Amino acid sequence: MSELRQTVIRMLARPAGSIGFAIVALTLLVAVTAPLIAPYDPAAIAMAKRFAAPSFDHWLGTDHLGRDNLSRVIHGTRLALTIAFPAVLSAFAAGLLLGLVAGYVGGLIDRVLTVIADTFLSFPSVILGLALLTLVGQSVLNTTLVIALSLFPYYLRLARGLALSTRHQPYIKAERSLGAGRGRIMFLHLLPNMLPPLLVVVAMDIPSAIVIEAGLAFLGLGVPPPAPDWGVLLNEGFVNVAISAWPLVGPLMAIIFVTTGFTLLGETFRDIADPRLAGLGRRTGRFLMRRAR
Amino acid sequence: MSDKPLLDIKGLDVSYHLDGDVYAALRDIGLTVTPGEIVGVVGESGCGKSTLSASLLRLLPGNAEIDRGEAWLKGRDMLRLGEEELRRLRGRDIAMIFQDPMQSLNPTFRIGSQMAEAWRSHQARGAKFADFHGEAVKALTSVGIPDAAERMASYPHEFSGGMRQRISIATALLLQPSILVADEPTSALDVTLEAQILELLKQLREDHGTAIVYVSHDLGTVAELCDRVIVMYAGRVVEENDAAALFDNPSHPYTRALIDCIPSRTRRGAALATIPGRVPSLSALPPGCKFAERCTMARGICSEEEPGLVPQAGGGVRCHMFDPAKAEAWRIGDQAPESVAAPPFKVSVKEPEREALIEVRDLRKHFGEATGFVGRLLSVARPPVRAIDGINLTIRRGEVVGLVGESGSGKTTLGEVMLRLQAATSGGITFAGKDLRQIPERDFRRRVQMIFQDPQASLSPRQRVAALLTEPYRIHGIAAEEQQSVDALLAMVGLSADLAAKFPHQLSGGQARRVGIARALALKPDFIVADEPTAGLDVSAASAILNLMRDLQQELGLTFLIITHNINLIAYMAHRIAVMYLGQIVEIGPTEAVFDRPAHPYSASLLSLTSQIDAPERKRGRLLVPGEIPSPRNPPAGCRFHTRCVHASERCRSEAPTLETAGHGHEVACHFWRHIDQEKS
Repeated sequence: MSELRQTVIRMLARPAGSIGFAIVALTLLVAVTAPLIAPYDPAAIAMAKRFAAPSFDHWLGTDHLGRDNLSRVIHGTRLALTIAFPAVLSAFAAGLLLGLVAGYVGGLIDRVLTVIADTFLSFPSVILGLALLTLVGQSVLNTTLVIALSLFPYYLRLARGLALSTRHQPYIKAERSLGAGRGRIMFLHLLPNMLPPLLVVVAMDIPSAIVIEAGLAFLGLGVPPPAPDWGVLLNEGFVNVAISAWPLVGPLMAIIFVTTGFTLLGETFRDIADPRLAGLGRRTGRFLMRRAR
Repeated sequence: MSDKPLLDIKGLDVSYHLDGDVYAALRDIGLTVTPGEIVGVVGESGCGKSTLSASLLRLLPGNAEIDRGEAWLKGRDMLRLGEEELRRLRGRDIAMIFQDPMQSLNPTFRIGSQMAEAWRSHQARGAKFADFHGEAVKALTSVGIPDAAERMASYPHEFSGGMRQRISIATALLLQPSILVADEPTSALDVTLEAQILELLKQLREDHGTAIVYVSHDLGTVAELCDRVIVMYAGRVVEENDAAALFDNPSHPYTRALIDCIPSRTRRGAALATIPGRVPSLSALPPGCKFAERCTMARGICSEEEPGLVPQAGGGVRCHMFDPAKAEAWRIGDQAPESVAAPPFKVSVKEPEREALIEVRDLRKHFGEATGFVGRLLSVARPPVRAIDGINLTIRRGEVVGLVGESGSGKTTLGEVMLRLQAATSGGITFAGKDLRQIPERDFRRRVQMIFQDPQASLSPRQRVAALLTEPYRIHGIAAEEQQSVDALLAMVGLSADLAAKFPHQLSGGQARRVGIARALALKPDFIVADEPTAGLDVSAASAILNLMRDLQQELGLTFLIITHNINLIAYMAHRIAVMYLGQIVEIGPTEAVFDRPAHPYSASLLSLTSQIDAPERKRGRLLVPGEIPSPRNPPAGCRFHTRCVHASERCRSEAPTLETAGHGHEVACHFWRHIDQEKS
């Protein structure tokens, strides 16, 4: 896998790549070691120390129940990633598979899948998420599924477009002339050539999944309290902002920090993996902003 | 033409800087152009031809650096001029036309305004805008754009490729530059259009005394057009001479090898010369003569010391082995690099058997054919594209049939329909005595193969060579003992076994083409369609591929349909030639017969326009075909060629000719072929 190693080296050689890489690595480290590095139990209530300002004991102060803000943000990292990663990856897998079939096989299957994708796409994802979560109830698993469901049509459309353009490449015709069947062409010849551009999009969508997840929780329909979810933290901090702004600082900084890191990494990967995709960043950027609204 | 040189380049060195490496693109280039002279620049790709042409206008990319040298144009050294002075020089004194007329015109501007821009930028130098319109119409008319005044309001996409190249030439001419740099101006065009453009360039020199630097990899057009030629290798000028002397008596082994690589009728039956190896990387050039490692005459000194330019009558040669005193002996010479013509010598193309392998009856393929009631109603306004319109063709087992014609004549479509890669609209195909519809698709795929036009793009990019070669076996579930090993397949096409682990993008064009051929042969097919088998390859790689195809044809008795616009290739290796025009075969017959006595006016023109490198053939009369191939959506009534035929009469406009016999196995579709034939003799 020297190709992979080369890509990594070239990514690290760029400032954006190395900063992004450092942030993402730090985030992952924090998520994995959360119970070890968090100074307190995130759920430990201490009514005596409510709304404390930052001090040596509590670096980011305490919240309305006297819980340590820093510890809650650290545990929140773990929660954010355990939702964002599975959500994006399952959406990616489903979208890729269905998009590949739609694009290569075409015909009725293509039309049905495209209509389904367009139906999902016609709802703003937060509204769709709110509606679905109201129906199925709040939980970590449901939040993950809802995010995956709102992301997969994008992947489906993207994969379909790539399959449509790749299927006209001379090597696909060459494979057909050898007598290769559909399955062989789709999975052995189309798929590997569609992966690099799609992986770029996946890397850049991790932050948007984090933002949707926090958004749903902030609106009170995502991960339910008392879990130290960033959206929950924001919500609680927002309610009490008149008393103390400190509970807001941690989750806000964390969201900005983590989304920046993943975006930098994703964009560097895109520039290296395929310079022709340079326009994709702007599209995904707009797509992120639409989601945030 | 011994005037004072118009352009005088001395000791030019240009390097590219990329990722910390330095690529020596040009070294010690000397080039003079006198007024009204046409100088050709030839060489394989990677030898610095395009860098040279870009340096003439100083249009080099940002990572290029001119290290040294002088370039005198009209008493000024262009390399010392500031950007503003240089800008005024470009267009006015020296102009350029590019390879791809699709890309060198801005699609969002009318051609008139693009031309006006060139004019306006030089207004300060005395060009009055009031004169623009008249001058532009004159320039467009002189390059053969009809209704120039009206067409100035058209956009580039409203013109065909040939017309667009004419427009870029007209724009270049507008300011009457004294030198025109043409970088592969005809590479994207058909022979008929190429001939028109070459004619136009000659006309320019006659009318305006424009000097032309003509850069091309096509030795044939260079031999025809140029007065003097420089041959480039790895960024050096290796030989310079008058065109006739250079092609008749090449002095440098590289020039000689390039010329010997080209297929032609006279070389039929013999193996073509090949040049082993590749152009060395410009970042790691060997110390001595750059050609030494591919040269069959190389001695010890060649790899140690770089030869200087030894003067010869019309220029110079950069070779240690060349001795001007013995120039004559050298040229006639037994010293000629005969071992360049390496592979085993085959007497002639193997004769085919009598049995018909594939037979096509009244085949048609129409695109956008209306179906259903509404479709048929609408189709009155938009008729289908008749890509193939009534083809009959029989190919015998072991036969090599060449299919030629301009782009848009339906050649590739015919090949793909015959291989069932596209469905026919009507007509029948019989393969090995059975109706194609009765043969299961999988069985058919095992017995026929296609060699696709683009060697690299037709290999799946993320598969290694070994996987690509054995894929046919996996697809068809062939038992291991019946498979040929990867090494054996690679060896069959003359590749070394260590290529097995490479990806397609790591191969050169010639290697990729060989892998494609090996893959096509893995299943031991009966019938192979080769679509432009040498397109995009350098002459040396192309000759090696043709040698390979010929050897394989002889050893395995393969049946080939070769689709190409390169008539020399057909002349070199086909038993029969079929000439297509607008979806129909207008002439078909044994190669010798068709070449000796082409009966159809269209084939006669195509054959005469094919550029020839061999001296006796070089200065033949050329029968230009006017205009361009009409749209297959609305083919002309009667004989489809009548719109471009000099012999056309009333009968041709109304009555379509059918194929009639013009000799043994020689058929032609023309009302007047007998008449024309008599006129000729």
